[in-house]
Amino acid sequence: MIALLLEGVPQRGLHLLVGLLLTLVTVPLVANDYLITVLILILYFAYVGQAWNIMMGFAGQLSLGHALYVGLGAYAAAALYVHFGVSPWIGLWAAMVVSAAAGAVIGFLAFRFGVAGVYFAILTIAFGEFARIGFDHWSWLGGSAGFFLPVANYTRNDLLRPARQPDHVLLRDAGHDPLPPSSCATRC
Amino acid sequence: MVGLDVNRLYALTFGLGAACVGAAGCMMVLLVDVTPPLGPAYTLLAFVIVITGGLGSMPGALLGGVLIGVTEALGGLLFTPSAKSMFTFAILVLVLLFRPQGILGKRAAP
Repeated sequence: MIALLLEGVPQRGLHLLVGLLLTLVTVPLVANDYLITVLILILYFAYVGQAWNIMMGFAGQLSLGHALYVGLGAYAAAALYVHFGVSPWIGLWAAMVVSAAAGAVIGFLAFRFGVAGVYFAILTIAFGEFARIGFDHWSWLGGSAGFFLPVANYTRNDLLRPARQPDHVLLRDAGHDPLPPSSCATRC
Repeated sequence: MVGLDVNRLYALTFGLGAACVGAAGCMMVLLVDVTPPLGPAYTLLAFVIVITGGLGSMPGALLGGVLIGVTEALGGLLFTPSAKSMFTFAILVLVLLFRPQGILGKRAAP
């Protein structure tokens, strides 16, 4: 399988791949948060593009509903983490299973009933829109407001911080100081 | 079919379609708010209606419009109004699977 993938790849391309791998491994050790965020976005876009490329580039099937699989995977991993406390590293595999299962069902329906060409594109739009409106009304997963993850407050300019301030004031007024002064000094 | 200027006919067809939708917009503006980003939602809706009724069929477009319109109205009445389009897309999926040429459309020669 791996040999098949590397068939016809020139020597220079292999060197570049190894160089890329080494860069990816070393960058998190030296780069700052912002740079890592940008690199993650770049890899994410490349990954999403590659997923679509497999459908249109290799199989020639125009799919306009690929956002469905991205969203299903994201929701699956996030729901496992928020509702069941499963680590996203395990949720990653669950997300792949969920998205692949959804893709298999839609693909089976489309090709079993001979939906091809532009009709296949419309079918993928229909499934994507159907799921989008469904998730908009699924309050267990946040509904139309979106599904928020409790992320760690690592960066200096975190958007979570201003939202938390009134919280503290409220608690302090009620007589419960939520934080010892020392930890407040390190946070503020 | 000799001597027809295909490009001219394409342009004429496009113009006719635009004129129809212009008249439709003139009547619609009395009922709904019109804003610049209005386009994609109605484009997709028109697309769904024509695919459901049958591509290239005039009665099909009318039937599709009535079917989708009544479905959305009933869906909004019986369930949540914001979820009404779900029923539209469910109908679209069923039509595509069981009658890809649309309800009144003719199966194109493969």
